[in-house]
Amino acid sequence: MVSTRLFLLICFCSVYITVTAQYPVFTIPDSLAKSANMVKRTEETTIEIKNIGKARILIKYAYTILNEAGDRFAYFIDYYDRFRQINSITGTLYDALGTKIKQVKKKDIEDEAVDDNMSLATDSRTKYHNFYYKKYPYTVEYETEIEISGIFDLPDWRPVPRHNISVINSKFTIVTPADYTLRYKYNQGFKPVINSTASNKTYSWELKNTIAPELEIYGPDWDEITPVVLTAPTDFEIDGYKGSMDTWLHFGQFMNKLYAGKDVLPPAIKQKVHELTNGLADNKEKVKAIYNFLQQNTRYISIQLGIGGWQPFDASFVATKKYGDCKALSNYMVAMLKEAGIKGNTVLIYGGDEEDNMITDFPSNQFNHAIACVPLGKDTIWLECTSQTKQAGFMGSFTGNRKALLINDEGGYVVSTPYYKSNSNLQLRKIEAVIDENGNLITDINTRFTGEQQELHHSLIHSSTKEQRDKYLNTRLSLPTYTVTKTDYTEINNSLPEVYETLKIEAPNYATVTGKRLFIVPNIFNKSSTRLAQDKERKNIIRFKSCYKDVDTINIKIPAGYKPESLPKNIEINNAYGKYSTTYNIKDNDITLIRIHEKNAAQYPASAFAEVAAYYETIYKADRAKIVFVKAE
Amino acid sequence: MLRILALSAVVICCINQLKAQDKLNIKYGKLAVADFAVASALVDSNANAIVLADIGSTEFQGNNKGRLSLIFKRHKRIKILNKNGFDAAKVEISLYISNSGDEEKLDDVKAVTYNLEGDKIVETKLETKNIFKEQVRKNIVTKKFTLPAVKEGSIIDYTYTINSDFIFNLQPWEFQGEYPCLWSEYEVNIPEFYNYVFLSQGSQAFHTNKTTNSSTSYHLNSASGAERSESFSITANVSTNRWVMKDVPALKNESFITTLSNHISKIDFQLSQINYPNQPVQNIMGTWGKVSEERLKDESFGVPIERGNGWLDDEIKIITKNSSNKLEAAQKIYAYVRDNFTRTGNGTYISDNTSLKDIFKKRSGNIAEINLLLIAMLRHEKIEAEPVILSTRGNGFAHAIYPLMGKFNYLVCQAVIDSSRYYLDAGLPRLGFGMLPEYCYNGRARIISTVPAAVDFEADMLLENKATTIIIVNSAQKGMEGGFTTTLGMYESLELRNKLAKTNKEDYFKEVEKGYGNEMKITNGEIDSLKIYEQPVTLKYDMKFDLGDDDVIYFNPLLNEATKQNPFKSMSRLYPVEMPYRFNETINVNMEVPKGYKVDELPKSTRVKLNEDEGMFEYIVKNNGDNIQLRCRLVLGKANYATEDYQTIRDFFGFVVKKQAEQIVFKKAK
Repeated sequence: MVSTRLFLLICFCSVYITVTAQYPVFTIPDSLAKSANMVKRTEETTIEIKNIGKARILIKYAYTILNEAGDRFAYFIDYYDRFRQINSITGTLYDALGTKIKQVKKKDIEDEAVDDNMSLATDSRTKYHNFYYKKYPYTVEYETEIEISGIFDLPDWRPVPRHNISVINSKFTIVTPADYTLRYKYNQGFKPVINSTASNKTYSWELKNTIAPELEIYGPDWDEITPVVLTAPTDFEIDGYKGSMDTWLHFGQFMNKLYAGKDVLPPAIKQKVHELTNGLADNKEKVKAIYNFLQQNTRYISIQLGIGGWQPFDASFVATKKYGDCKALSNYMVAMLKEAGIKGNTVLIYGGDEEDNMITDFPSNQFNHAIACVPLGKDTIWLECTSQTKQAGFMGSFTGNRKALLINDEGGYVVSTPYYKSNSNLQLRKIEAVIDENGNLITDINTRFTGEQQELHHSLIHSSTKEQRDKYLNTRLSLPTYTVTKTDYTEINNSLPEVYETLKIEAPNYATVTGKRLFIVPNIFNKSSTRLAQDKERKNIIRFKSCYKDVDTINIKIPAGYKPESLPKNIEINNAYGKYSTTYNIKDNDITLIRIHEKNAAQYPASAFAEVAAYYETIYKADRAKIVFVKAE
Repeated sequence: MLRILALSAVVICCINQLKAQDKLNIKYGKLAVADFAVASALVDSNANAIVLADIGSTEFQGNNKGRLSLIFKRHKRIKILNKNGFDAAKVEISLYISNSGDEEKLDDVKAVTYNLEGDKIVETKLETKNIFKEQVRKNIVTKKFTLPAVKEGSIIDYTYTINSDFIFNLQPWEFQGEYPCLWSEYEVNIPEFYNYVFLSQGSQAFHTNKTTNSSTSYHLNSASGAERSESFSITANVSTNRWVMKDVPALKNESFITTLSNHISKIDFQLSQINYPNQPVQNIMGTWGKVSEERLKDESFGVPIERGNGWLDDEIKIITKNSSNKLEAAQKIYAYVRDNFTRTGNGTYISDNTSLKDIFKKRSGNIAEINLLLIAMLRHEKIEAEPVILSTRGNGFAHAIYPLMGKFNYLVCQAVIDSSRYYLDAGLPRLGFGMLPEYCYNGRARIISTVPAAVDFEADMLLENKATTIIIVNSAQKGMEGGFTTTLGMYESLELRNKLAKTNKEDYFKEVEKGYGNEMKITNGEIDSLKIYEQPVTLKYDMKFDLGDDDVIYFNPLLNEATKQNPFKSMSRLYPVEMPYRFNETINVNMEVPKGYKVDELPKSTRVKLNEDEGMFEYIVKNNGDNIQLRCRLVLGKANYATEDYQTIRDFFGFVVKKQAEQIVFKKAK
């Protein structure tokens, strides 16, 4: 009898649930739906830190997908590995009226290995689920429970992750033991509400009724214009290693524990180091000799298993196998330097193009790469140990221009890698061209590239075969039809490297020849493509990250018997946004154009947008300016 | 007598020489200092590594399940020439696991790196613990390793065995790969119990292609449950097939090519018959008739569409409401499936443990599941509908004659309504009724029905028609104004529809305006037939722009419609040019001479042909007083062109680009 009643009760419950509409779309205010592809109806992330070795993360959210562009938010994906376990995934799909349509079935959850296109082995895998619904609008609701072993990494809160979304409600809560000190950093005045009991301390944040900012080209980082709460542990444990990251010093001390005893070299390598360096007086020469040995005798192989994501292989493993990942190779380099009596350090860094985003006042795990550094005052040498060709001391766009964490015996210290200004990133080009009476162009091009501007050519020299290089050069240029008939490169390996490139190019019909006229665009190769649309009012600052200087000196010989009919005006601009000039000279049948363009990393207020746009539009047009010659009668 | 002796000596010499050239004297683990000097024309600045030998064999062996297993052995030796060849030292081996958990086993992995130090060879061996395993998908596991101590100039040597119970999975062999190869050899020993069809492709010639016959004994063991195990031997005739290719160049990618896998030199096997002693012959591959019959009886293919599918009654009633005829009902059903279901991948049958009802509920499935559902729904309404299997362009060609099911990866529907044929694919959003995606046009497809027929889908059957009209007149105020109208080809229309599904019309026209630069203002943007997927899209807008008041004005009347880049960039080519369709583009411009100006120079009218009748370009311009008329037409009559035609087609497009860049010159009237 009792069981029957229970049965009935359950029946009623489920009936009740199915008839109650959840998240009907009409309740979304128009103001939030208007420019959105997706609306976060509710979102709640709760992290319960049990102790330094264990935490549970509960994530529950309901997103309404308003159109096809919102589909990118409709599926569930999360990863797991040795330190992160997904305990459960549940979910429900609702139609526009809020009627339940279906639920997540276990067999519809896909499990796949993470293929980062780089690693030989990793233990990360993903769980993925998709309702594949197409009747817009609809709502997906997912709930998942994750358990992490070791609180080295804690989730951050970014309730507004992208443009064209709105948030009705998003909550972020962290529960810690009463005596645990949680660290957090917020922007936009997002202070937490803190509640304490005898056993627990709860921090919570909430965001309501918010429309994401619009995406603007050359804008600030997304994290600067949307709410972000970063979290990090003080004391933590991972795979049996304990540490603290309340300061960078302590973070570095923890890394020292992982690195302890990993720098023992086999006797043969010790001997080799002495062979290489004993005869050299200068420390810089010794560093170069060892770095050269490293580059000749190792290669990059990524294996990320368990703690191996942070801990390097033994130096002796690298010495015999002759491969390793960034940590292992840097550690091996530092060990060899030590054998030569030179103090070197591993440096943790976030590698990527133009990524200067280390938050220096918030010690936490912000790194994806490791390099080595030999501090020699202003002669400090930076070493990328995963490359077999990079010049000693050169960082370039992947690791230059940013802050990083140097690990020494005492712990961690924030340091700056070299900054490359426009005068370091040069492209100085001389063009000697001849155009025949049919408009065909034959030209010799000699270019000197330095710093970040030589990176592409460095990789063309080292990472491609001649055939691949020729093929690349034959598709890269924006000439209508052309053939590169000669290529030649030489390299000067300084800490500010240089590449000299010699090309010969034939471009049939480059100039247009009509009955009596000849049309030529004298700026053959260096055309700026930046154009800024001015159809909307600019809201955020404008930021340019790259800096370089280009000088093109172009000489073109044309057939005799023409005189200029239309000539572009010379331009000289030198303002807050950069320097640009074009200078034309025409003598008989010789055209000379000198084009100079210098760009610096800089930031301008939103109000300057129209001026910045006009500046780039001037360059865009001037770079495509035409000279028209007409046959002399 | 002397002469006879001399002659036989010569013959013997020849035989010896033949033998010497036919076998490569190479053994795993055995290497001499001299082997580091590789003398071959293939070692040049374009080779990062060179495969010195890649030798494989497959043999049958009796196992203890009372059957025969396949034993695949491979030995590969590579010289690393430079740093960019290091990737050759990463090895990945794919293994199959059946649904019931039986798997192909990788055995005897041995790998060693040789480095020449002075005049000594230093060996570094792979340790077994550095072999990693990864479950890639449900039925695929890979084992991965990299060789230790690899430097420029290293020779790496590895060997492994795959032991497989899946006799349908006789390992194929690729003679050609990323690196050039001096010697690629594969030997397959097949006992008379099995018949395989050999499928070889590619343009490289065999150095050896030989079959010999012998006799072999197979020892089998069967341990069936509690019964005592039984050992027995059978002797069978075995045919040994051996293929060798020498000095094979590396494979290279190109643009405008259907898929590189069509051009690689390889040999593949398809089990066609099993013929065990004292048992009837089992036809595995069979004929198209047989295969179709089996497919139609299969729960994962024919059975679900043959059924009544009464569970669809109510749904279809709603979907086809108010249809006045079969065509209209078919169109409604097609639109319903297309608009409500998501394709998750390719395939030619329904996944295990899945019914059409599951697919209907899940609203997603592989292409076969979606189109079989479409077929079931059409048949429910007594509309004649059959499945058609094909291989997409990216998947390479299917075999034109043999029923090699593994070569097919896609399924569409053929519907016959009022004696008209329609090919339908409901797996792609916004595709019109009766259209197939361009990637389906890849040669021979098969209708799976009681009378299986071949259907050919060739890229040449598709024609993209595009017509553009530009009208420019003097504005009542200052400057010029006009109208732009273009009707796109069907595939370009589909592309635009897909784009507009994720952005709005206003943003789209802003982008068009931005493409012209600041001089041009666009208003009254309109898109016709955006939602009528069976019709091409027509775009219209009004233009307003100023030409300035210089004494001389240069103006390209084709505006942004001029082709600016030659699509055929590279100077030479290894493979044929394979485009997805033929095309026919026409641009008509009707323009008033700007007020206060007169025409000083017009581009010359011209017409050129591509190989007599394979293509045509014309540019006809006329000036009648204040009016200029231009007609520009580009026709490509074939989708595929031979490698030898490459230079011609490149020059043809070079001419098009040049001509379309020409300008009209206006001078101020004095």
